[in-house]
Amino acid sequence: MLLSVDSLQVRYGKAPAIHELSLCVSAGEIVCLVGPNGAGKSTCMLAIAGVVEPAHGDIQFEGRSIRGLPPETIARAGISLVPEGRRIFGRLTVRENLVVASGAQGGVGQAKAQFDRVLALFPVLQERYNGYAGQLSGGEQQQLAIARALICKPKLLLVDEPSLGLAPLFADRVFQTLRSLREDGTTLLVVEQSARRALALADRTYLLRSGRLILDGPSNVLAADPEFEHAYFGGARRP
Amino acid sequence: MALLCLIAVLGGPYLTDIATEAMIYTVMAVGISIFMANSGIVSFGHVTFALVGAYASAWQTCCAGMRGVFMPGLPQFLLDSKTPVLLAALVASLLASVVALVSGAAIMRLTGAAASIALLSLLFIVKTIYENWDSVTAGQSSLVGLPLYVDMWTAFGFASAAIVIAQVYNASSFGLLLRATREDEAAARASGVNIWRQRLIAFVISAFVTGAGGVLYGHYLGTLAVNVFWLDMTFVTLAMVVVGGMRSLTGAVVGAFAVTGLRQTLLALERGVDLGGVSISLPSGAQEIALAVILLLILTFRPQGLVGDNEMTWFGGARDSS
Amino acid sequence: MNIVQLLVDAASLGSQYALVALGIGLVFGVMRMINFAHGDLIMIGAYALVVPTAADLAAPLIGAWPFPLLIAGILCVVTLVALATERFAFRALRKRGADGSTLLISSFAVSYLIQSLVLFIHTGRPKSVSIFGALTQQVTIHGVRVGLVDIVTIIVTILLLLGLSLYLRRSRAGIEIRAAAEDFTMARMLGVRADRAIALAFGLSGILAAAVSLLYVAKTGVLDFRMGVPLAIAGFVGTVIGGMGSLPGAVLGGFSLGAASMLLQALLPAELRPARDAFVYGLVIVVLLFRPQGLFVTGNAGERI
Repeated sequence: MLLSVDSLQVRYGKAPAIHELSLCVSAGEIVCLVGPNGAGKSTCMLAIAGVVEPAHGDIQFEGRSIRGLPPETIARAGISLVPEGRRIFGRLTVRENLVVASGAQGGVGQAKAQFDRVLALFPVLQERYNGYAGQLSGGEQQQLAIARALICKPKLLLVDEPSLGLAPLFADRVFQTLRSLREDGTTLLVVEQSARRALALADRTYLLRSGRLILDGPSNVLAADPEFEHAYFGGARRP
Repeated sequence: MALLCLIAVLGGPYLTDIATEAMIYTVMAVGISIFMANSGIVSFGHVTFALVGAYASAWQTCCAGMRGVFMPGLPQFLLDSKTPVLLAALVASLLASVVALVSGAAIMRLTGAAASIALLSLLFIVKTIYENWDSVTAGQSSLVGLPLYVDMWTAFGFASAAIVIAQVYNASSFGLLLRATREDEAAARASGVNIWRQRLIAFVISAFVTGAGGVLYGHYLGTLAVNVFWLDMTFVTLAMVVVGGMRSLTGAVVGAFAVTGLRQTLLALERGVDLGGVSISLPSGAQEIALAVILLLILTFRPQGLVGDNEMTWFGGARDSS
Repeated sequence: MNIVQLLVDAASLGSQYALVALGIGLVFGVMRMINFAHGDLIMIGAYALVVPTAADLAAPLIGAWPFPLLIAGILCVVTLVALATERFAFRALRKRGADGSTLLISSFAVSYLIQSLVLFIHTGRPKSVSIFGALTQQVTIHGVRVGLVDIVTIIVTILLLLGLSLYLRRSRAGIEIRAAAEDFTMARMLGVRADRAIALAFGLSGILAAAVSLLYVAKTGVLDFRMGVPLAIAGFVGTVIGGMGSLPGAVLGGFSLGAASMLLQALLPAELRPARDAFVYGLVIVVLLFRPQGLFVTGNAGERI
């Protein structure tokens, strides 16, 4: 098991954002978290990345607990996040955005090779290499955010709402890229609001609502389950 | 109050002095707290109002026949005025409010650290003006001969009045609105609160109270010098507000007493004490260093201060804690 | 007063303020804390020139060293003190999640602590010390006499700005600092070590403070334990009018403030000159009334607390 989250609970102030969430991701998988707004998906990602302190529960990466470690240590252990809203450094150039992220990786020669590989994946970034990231279009910024997260060769890539604010055509392309990453051996945990896209992408899917786990299973099984849509929008059984 | 009676009867002049000083600082700390606790903005500039208040009271009451010698630049009506001290205190505090109204109109547009720095600049401006305005402030030399009407009971009266003013403001809808902006500026703005105006109201009221603190200070010591109202006083009063608890009125009062007590203890130690025949004394200057270190420790380990967000009930008036 | 002379004076004071504002801006960028103690770093650098004693007469200590050593010595002392304030005061606060107000007040407390310590060691009496004696002379350029120290101040400032800008753009650590200034948490999620980036920012601000110490003392020759305060205020106001969070803004803001002070000094009638700063800051408040976000701000460099 690459990542396992066990009975995770996160609170903002006194209000719990996540109740007793458990999930796992094994190496080579694509796993999706779906759910409506406020389901706690992003909070879960931030907790794994070490930005939000869990109130209870444990997070293990490669068999070691990473709960309570600072974000930079977690990044250096091999977890990279493409955050909601992209959060690229607008006042830095495309190159500099990538340089910031490459610090988590080892040797210089290795870094060079990884730069070439990532830029081959996103040709548009090669074109705008020395331009300011703030001047990129939304779609280009999303590609930069993913490229930046990939530059340190993460073992686990966390992607939060990659299609948010993108035209459907661009969103399709981003999802295509994500799929191709798996072929390179990257494991992905993706948060997505659109259940359709999520089920199409992931091997397994978890459905969250109001900070609780509602359903989970292989994507093809869930896609065929009539209860899934029902659960997404309201009613539904609770474990 | 009972404690004060006890001090008056048993304490002798030394304790009486400390209690008086603590209550003068209480007035200033409460004044600062009216603004800081409700707006959430750290003020490095409230000593300005103590300065303005102290000198304005001196203009009206100081030095009997010598007023024209010390401050030849005063207009004739001030040179001749025989204002009763309490009326003079009121007028002086009002002048502090006017200064706050004018300067606050600009500064209250800023938020966070920028506002704090602008407030410090305000103090710097006013101090520079007073230092160089020789004809009405005696410039860089001291003014002596202010009527010494402040004793423990006067200070107690002023402190009580300050607390009542603060409490009335806190309980008012103005106080409520301003505290809402402290918690979430964007949300308060979105629901139509005019943040600038709310901050300005608190600023003017707090300047009035702090100004009264300055008046007391001058008439307690009997002498005034501009450079007294500078970083030391800023630091000490700020330390009071922080030590007690930045977010509550009770904090300001508790802090004023705690810090005054601490400073006096340290000063006594600097003068030297006998412990079983062994005389111990701290080197002079240890007081400031110790106070700074203690403040840093409190900020690190108990940033909410001694009382935190708790509010004590003053004079029976109930108030919801914010 | 000749116009060229005036412009040189204005640029000299502007340069000094720009360096102070930049030092404050660097730390503000990564930590969102206005470092009050920055002015006191400058003061420490100046006092390190003389033997620490309560005696009235200041015997030179580092101030007597040959000048390359003198510069290196002051740089070391100030940078170490800057790092020490970060390590022993601000880091603990940051780790405990202190909010903006708490950080601001603690930097005020650190400033007060440094001042009290210097007061304790050196007493409050102003002392005088002379370094770089050769700089006190006037030089004549095309018939205009200007202070050599002012010319040197301007040149040193330009060199420091170029060097720093090169460092921030070319080196990995510099790029990390710029990224951290824009979005600290994001930078950490990409593996940027928070402690290191912040310590580096403090170190750089220490170097800038040391430069100001030397330039200031070379010009005035006076030591006073409160000398850092007006400089720090000028630096803060510079960062505020430049737009908080922007380094070029801080430089421009500081420079304009210094230049404006000097020009105002020349324009004011003699009896109002001592109150020059009151007029300058009054002007600043009026400016902020119309542009609360600062004069040179472009993007959304809002305060993150």
